[in-house]
Amino acid sequence: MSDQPDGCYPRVTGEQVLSGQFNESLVSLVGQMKDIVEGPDGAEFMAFEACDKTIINCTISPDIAFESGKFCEIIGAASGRSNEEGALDAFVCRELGSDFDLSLYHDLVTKVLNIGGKFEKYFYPKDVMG
Amino acid sequence: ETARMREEAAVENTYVRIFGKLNSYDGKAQIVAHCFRKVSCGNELTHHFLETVHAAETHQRSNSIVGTPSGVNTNLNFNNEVMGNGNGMQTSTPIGNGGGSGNFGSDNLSRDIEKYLQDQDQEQGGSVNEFVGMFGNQYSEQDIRQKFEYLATEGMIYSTIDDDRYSII
Repeated sequence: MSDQPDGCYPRVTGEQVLSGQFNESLVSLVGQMKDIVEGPDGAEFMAFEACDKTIINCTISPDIAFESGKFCEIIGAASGRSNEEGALDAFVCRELGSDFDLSLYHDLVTKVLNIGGKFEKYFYPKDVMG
Repeated sequence: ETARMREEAAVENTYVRIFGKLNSYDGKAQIVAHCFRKVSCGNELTHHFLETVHAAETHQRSNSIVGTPSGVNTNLNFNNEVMGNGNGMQTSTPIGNGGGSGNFGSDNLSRDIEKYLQDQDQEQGGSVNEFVGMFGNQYSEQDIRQKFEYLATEGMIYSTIDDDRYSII
Protein backbone atom coordinates (compact mmCIF):
# COMPACT_ATOMS: atom_id res chain seq x y z
CA MET A 1 0.00 0.00 0.00
CA SER A 2 2.98 2.29 0.55
CA ASP A 3 3.57 2.26 -3.23
CA GLN A 4 0.04 3.36 -4.04
CA PRO A 5 -0.08 7.01 -5.19
CA ASP A 6 -1.76 9.21 -2.61
CA GLY A 7 -5.48 9.57 -3.24
CA CYS A 8 -5.42 7.14 -6.16
CA TYR A 9 -7.46 4.02 -5.59
CA PRO A 10 -9.31 1.92 -8.11
CA ARG A 11 -13.08 1.67 -8.10
CA VAL A 12 -13.90 -2.00 -7.96
CA THR A 13 -16.72 -4.49 -7.82
CA GLY A 14 -17.28 -7.01 -5.05
CA GLU A 15 -15.98 -9.84 -7.25
CA GLN A 16 -12.73 -7.97 -7.77
CA VAL A 17 -12.26 -7.58 -4.01
CA LEU A 18 -12.75 -11.31 -3.49
CA SER A 19 -10.51 -12.23 -6.42
CA GLY A 20 -7.41 -11.12 -4.54
CA GLN A 21 -6.35 -8.86 -7.38
CA PHE A 22 -6.23 -5.82 -5.06
CA ASN A 23 -4.95 -7.42 -1.85
CA GLU A 24 -3.00 -5.00 0.32
CA SER A 25 -4.28 -2.05 -1.76
CA LEU A 26 -6.75 0.70 -1.01
CA VAL A 27 -9.90 0.43 -3.11
CA SER A 28 -13.21 2.22 -3.45
CA LEU A 29 -16.28 0.01 -3.18
CA VAL A 30 -19.73 1.45 -3.77
CA GLY A 31 -22.87 -0.29 -2.74
CA GLN A 32 -25.49 -0.65 -0.06
CA MET A 33 -25.22 -1.44 3.64
CA LYS A 34 -27.17 -4.62 4.34
CA ASP A 35 -26.66 -6.10 7.76
CA ILE A 36 -24.34 -6.72 10.68
CA VAL A 37 -23.13 -10.31 10.61
CA GLU A 38 -21.00 -12.40 12.92
CA GLY A 39 -17.80 -14.08 11.82
CA PRO A 40 -16.56 -17.54 12.84
CA ASP A 41 -14.67 -16.23 15.89
CA GLY A 42 -17.48 -13.93 17.06
CA ALA A 43 -16.19 -10.77 15.41
CA GLU A 44 -18.83 -8.53 13.85
CA PHE A 45 -18.71 -7.40 10.26
CA MET A 46 -20.87 -5.19 8.11
CA ALA A 47 -22.39 -7.09 5.18
CA PHE A 48 -22.08 -4.70 2.26
CA GLU A 49 -23.72 -5.39 -1.09
CA ALA A 50 -21.45 -4.08 -3.83
CA CYS A 51 -22.62 -2.72 -7.17
CA ASP A 52 -22.39 -6.20 -8.73
CA LYS A 53 -24.64 -7.62 -5.96
CA THR A 54 -21.73 -9.45 -4.31
CA ILE A 55 -21.88 -9.32 -0.50
CA ILE A 56 -18.59 -8.26 1.04
CA ASN A 57 -18.01 -8.53 4.78
CA CYS A 58 -16.24 -5.40 5.98
CA THR A 59 -14.58 -4.55 9.26
CA ILE A 60 -15.62 -1.01 10.10
CA SER A 61 -14.18 1.72 12.27
CA PRO A 62 -16.37 3.18 15.09
CA ASP A 63 -17.01 6.42 13.22
CA ILE A 64 -18.81 4.64 10.36
CA ALA A 65 -22.51 4.67 11.17
CA PHE A 66 -24.38 1.57 10.00
CA GLU A 67 -27.83 2.06 8.48
CA SER A 68 -29.44 -0.78 6.56
CA GLY A 69 -30.20 0.19 2.97
CA LYS A 70 -27.92 3.22 2.89
CA PHE A 71 -26.04 3.76 -0.37
CA CYS A 72 -22.46 4.68 0.28
CA GLU A 73 -18.89 4.51 -0.92
CA ILE A 74 -16.37 2.72 1.23
CA ILE A 75 -12.66 3.37 0.98
CA GLY A 76 -10.80 0.49 2.50
CA ALA A 77 -8.00 -2.01 2.20
CA ALA A 78 -8.59 -5.37 0.58
CA SER A 79 -7.32 -7.49 3.45
CA GLY A 80 -6.56 -10.71 1.62
CA ARG A 81 -8.60 -12.63 4.23
CA SER A 82 -11.58 -14.76 3.31
CA ASN A 83 -14.96 -13.07 3.19
CA GLU A 84 -16.02 -14.85 6.40
CA GLU A 85 -13.08 -13.21 8.16
CA GLY A 86 -13.69 -9.76 6.67
CA ALA A 87 -12.40 -9.25 3.12
CA LEU A 88 -12.35 -5.44 3.35
CA ASP A 89 -11.08 -3.19 6.15
CA ALA A 90 -13.16 -0.03 5.79
CA PHE A 91 -11.68 3.32 6.79
CA VAL A 92 -13.89 5.94 5.22
CA CYS A 93 -17.58 5.90 4.36
CA ARG A 94 -19.28 8.55 2.20
CA GLU A 95 -23.04 8.66 1.83
CA LEU A 96 -24.34 8.84 -1.72
CA GLY A 97 -27.98 9.76 -1.18
CA SER A 98 -31.14 7.71 -1.23
CA ASP A 99 -31.72 7.92 -5.01
CA PHE A 100 -28.33 6.64 -6.10
CA ASP A 101 -28.44 4.54 -9.30
CA LEU A 102 -26.30 1.54 -8.39
CA SER A 103 -26.76 -0.35 -11.65
CA LEU A 104 -25.58 2.68 -13.63
CA TYR A 105 -22.55 2.91 -11.37
CA HIS A 106 -21.86 -0.79 -11.98
CA ASP A 107 -21.84 -0.12 -15.72
CA LEU A 108 -19.46 2.78 -15.12
CA VAL A 109 -17.01 0.64 -13.15
CA THR A 110 -17.07 -2.34 -15.50
CA LYS A 111 -17.14 -0.51 -18.85
CA VAL A 112 -15.43 2.85 -18.28
CA LEU A 113 -13.24 2.78 -15.17
CA ASN A 114 -11.94 -0.75 -15.60
CA ILE A 115 -8.16 -1.04 -15.38
CA GLY A 116 -6.78 -2.14 -18.73
CA GLY A 117 -9.81 -0.67 -20.51
CA LYS A 118 -10.02 1.90 -23.24
CA PHE A 119 -10.29 4.88 -20.89
CA GLU A 120 -7.79 3.79 -18.28
CA LYS A 121 -5.40 6.61 -19.21
CA TYR A 122 -7.84 9.25 -17.94
CA PHE A 123 -8.15 7.85 -14.43
CA TYR A 124 -5.06 5.94 -13.38
CA PRO A 125 -1.36 6.81 -13.29
CA LYS A 126 0.88 4.88 -15.66
CA ASP A 127 2.17 2.43 -13.03
CA VAL A 128 -1.29 1.52 -11.87
CA MET A 129 -1.80 -1.12 -9.23
CA GLY A 130 -3.73 -4.33 -9.80
CA GLU B 1 -26.19 31.35 0.49
CA THR B 2 -22.57 31.27 -0.71
CA ALA B 3 -21.31 31.06 2.85
CA ARG B 4 -23.69 28.18 3.57
CA MET B 5 -22.53 26.31 0.47
CA ARG B 6 -18.90 26.74 1.44
CA GLU B 7 -19.56 25.59 4.98
CA GLU B 8 -21.30 22.43 3.70
CA ALA B 9 -18.46 21.72 1.30
CA ALA B 10 -15.63 22.28 3.78
CA VAL B 11 -16.10 18.96 5.59
CA GLU B 12 -13.48 16.23 5.42
CA ASN B 13 -14.29 13.30 3.11
CA THR B 14 -17.04 15.23 1.37
CA TYR B 15 -17.25 15.19 -2.42
CA VAL B 16 -17.30 18.72 -3.83
CA ARG B 17 -17.55 20.26 -7.27
CA ILE B 18 -14.97 22.97 -7.86
CA PHE B 19 -15.22 25.58 -10.59
CA GLY B 20 -12.06 27.41 -11.51
CA LYS B 21 -9.12 27.90 -13.80
CA LEU B 22 -6.39 25.35 -14.21
CA ASN B 23 -2.93 26.85 -13.73
CA SER B 24 0.56 25.48 -13.56
CA TYR B 25 2.88 26.68 -10.82
CA ASP B 26 6.35 25.34 -10.23
CA GLY B 27 5.58 22.41 -12.53
CA LYS B 28 2.48 21.41 -10.58
CA ALA B 29 -1.11 21.72 -11.74
CA GLN B 30 -3.30 23.88 -9.52
CA ILE B 31 -6.88 25.08 -9.67
CA VAL B 32 -7.71 28.66 -8.80
CA ALA B 33 -11.24 28.07 -7.56
CA HIS B 34 -13.98 30.62 -8.21
CA CYS B 35 -16.58 28.66 -6.32
CA PHE B 36 -17.19 25.23 -4.93
CA ARG B 37 -20.17 23.36 -3.59
CA LYS B 38 -21.01 20.01 -2.12
CA VAL B 39 -22.01 17.37 -4.66
CA SER B 40 -25.81 17.16 -4.66
CA CYS B 41 -26.08 13.35 -4.84
CA GLY B 42 -24.07 10.26 -5.69
CA ASN B 43 -25.34 10.21 -9.26
CA GLU B 44 -23.41 13.44 -9.84
CA LEU B 45 -20.26 11.42 -9.23
CA THR B 46 -21.20 8.90 -11.92
CA HIS B 47 -22.07 11.73 -14.26
CA HIS B 48 -18.73 13.40 -13.61
CA PHE B 49 -16.74 10.34 -14.65
CA LEU B 50 -18.77 9.96 -17.83
CA GLU B 51 -18.45 13.67 -18.56
CA THR B 52 -14.68 13.43 -18.07
CA VAL B 53 -14.38 10.71 -20.69
CA HIS B 54 -16.65 12.57 -23.08
CA ALA B 55 -14.71 15.83 -22.72
CA ALA B 56 -11.34 14.12 -23.09
CA GLU B 57 -12.38 12.16 -26.17
CA THR B 58 -13.96 15.24 -27.75
CA HIS B 59 -10.81 17.26 -27.07
CA GLN B 60 -8.65 14.56 -28.62
CA ARG B 61 -10.80 14.40 -31.71
CA SER B 62 -10.84 18.16 -32.15
CA ASN B 63 -7.04 18.24 -31.93
CA SER B 64 -6.77 15.70 -34.71
CA ILE B 65 -8.76 17.86 -37.17
CA VAL B 66 -6.25 19.61 -39.42
CA GLY B 67 -6.35 22.91 -41.22
CA THR B 68 -9.25 24.93 -39.79
CA PRO B 69 -8.33 27.88 -37.58
CA SER B 70 -10.71 28.81 -34.75
CA GLY B 71 -13.39 31.45 -35.33
CA VAL B 72 -13.88 30.51 -38.98
CA ASN B 73 -17.12 29.21 -40.45
CA THR B 74 -16.40 26.31 -42.76
CA ASN B 75 -18.80 24.97 -45.34
CA LEU B 76 -18.01 21.36 -46.00
CA ASN B 77 -19.37 19.59 -49.08
CA PHE B 78 -19.58 15.86 -48.75
CA ASN B 79 -19.98 13.93 -51.99
CA ASN B 80 -22.42 11.09 -52.43
CA GLU B 81 -19.79 8.39 -52.09
CA VAL B 82 -18.51 9.70 -48.76
CA MET B 83 -21.95 10.08 -47.25
CA GLY B 84 -23.24 6.86 -48.73
CA ASN B 85 -26.60 8.30 -49.70
CA GLY B 86 -28.24 9.67 -52.78
CA ASN B 87 -28.04 13.32 -51.78
CA GLY B 88 -25.03 15.59 -51.42
CA MET B 89 -24.85 17.25 -48.02
CA GLN B 90 -23.64 20.68 -47.12
CA THR B 91 -22.56 21.32 -43.56
CA SER B 92 -21.57 24.56 -41.91
CA THR B 93 -19.20 23.91 -39.04
CA PRO B 94 -18.53 26.92 -36.82
CA ILE B 95 -15.50 26.45 -34.64
CA GLY B 96 -14.71 28.66 -31.64
CA ASN B 97 -16.99 30.90 -29.65
CA GLY B 98 -18.11 33.47 -32.18
CA GLY B 99 -21.85 34.03 -31.97
CA GLY B 100 -22.35 31.81 -28.93
CA SER B 101 -21.15 28.27 -28.55
CA GLY B 102 -24.38 26.98 -27.06
CA ASN B 103 -22.53 25.79 -23.98
CA PHE B 104 -24.81 27.90 -21.79
CA GLY B 105 -27.93 26.28 -23.14
CA SER B 106 -30.09 26.27 -26.18
CA ASP B 107 -32.68 28.79 -25.04
CA ASN B 108 -32.57 32.37 -26.30
CA LEU B 109 -31.95 33.93 -22.89
CA SER B 110 -28.90 31.74 -22.27
CA ARG B 111 -27.49 32.54 -25.67
CA ASP B 112 -28.05 36.29 -25.19
CA ILE B 113 -26.35 36.20 -21.79
CA GLU B 114 -23.42 34.30 -23.26
CA LYS B 115 -23.01 36.77 -26.13
CA TYR B 116 -23.33 39.72 -23.76
CA LEU B 117 -20.69 38.42 -21.38
CA GLN B 118 -18.32 37.55 -24.23
CA ASP B 119 -18.36 41.22 -25.24
CA GLN B 120 -17.46 42.42 -21.75
CA ASP B 121 -14.11 42.96 -20.13
CA GLN B 122 -13.05 39.61 -18.62
CA GLU B 123 -11.85 41.16 -15.36
CA GLN B 124 -14.86 43.32 -14.56
CA GLY B 125 -17.47 41.22 -16.28
CA GLY B 126 -20.95 42.15 -17.34
CA SER B 127 -23.64 43.67 -15.14
CA VAL B 128 -26.94 41.92 -14.46
CA ASN B 129 -28.65 45.30 -14.05
CA GLU B 130 -27.26 46.45 -17.38
CA PHE B 131 -28.45 43.24 -19.05
CA VAL B 132 -31.90 43.77 -17.56
CA GLY B 133 -31.88 47.27 -19.00
CA MET B 134 -30.88 46.00 -22.44
CA PHE B 135 -33.14 42.97 -22.65
CA GLY B 136 -35.94 43.84 -20.25
CA ASN B 137 -38.41 44.11 -23.13
CA GLN B 138 -37.71 40.50 -24.19
CA TYR B 139 -37.37 38.73 -20.85
CA SER B 140 -38.71 39.38 -17.38
CA GLU B 141 -36.25 40.65 -14.79
CA GLN B 142 -36.99 37.62 -12.61
CA ASP B 143 -36.16 35.21 -15.44
CA ILE B 144 -32.93 37.07 -16.15
CA ARG B 145 -31.78 37.04 -12.54
CA GLN B 146 -32.71 33.39 -12.11
CA LYS B 147 -30.78 32.47 -15.23
CA PHE B 148 -27.66 34.30 -14.03
CA GLU B 149 -27.96 32.54 -10.69
CA TYR B 150 -28.37 29.17 -12.40
CA LEU B 151 -25.35 29.71 -14.64
CA ALA B 152 -23.26 30.69 -11.62
CA THR B 153 -24.38 27.59 -9.70
CA GLU B 154 -23.51 25.38 -12.67
CA GLY B 155 -20.07 26.94 -12.88
CA MET B 156 -20.50 28.54 -16.29
CA ILE B 157 -19.96 32.09 -14.92
CA TYR B 158 -18.52 33.60 -11.77
CA SER B 159 -19.04 36.86 -9.94
CA THR B 160 -16.25 39.39 -10.27
CA ILE B 161 -16.05 42.74 -8.50
CA ASP B 162 -19.50 42.57 -6.90
CA ASP B 163 -22.67 40.47 -6.81
CA ASP B 164 -24.06 42.24 -9.85
CA ARG B 165 -21.15 41.47 -12.16
CA TYR B 166 -20.29 38.16 -13.77
CA SER B 167 -17.72 36.89 -16.19
CA ILE B 168 -17.48 33.70 -18.22
CA ILE B 169 -15.28 30.95 -16.83
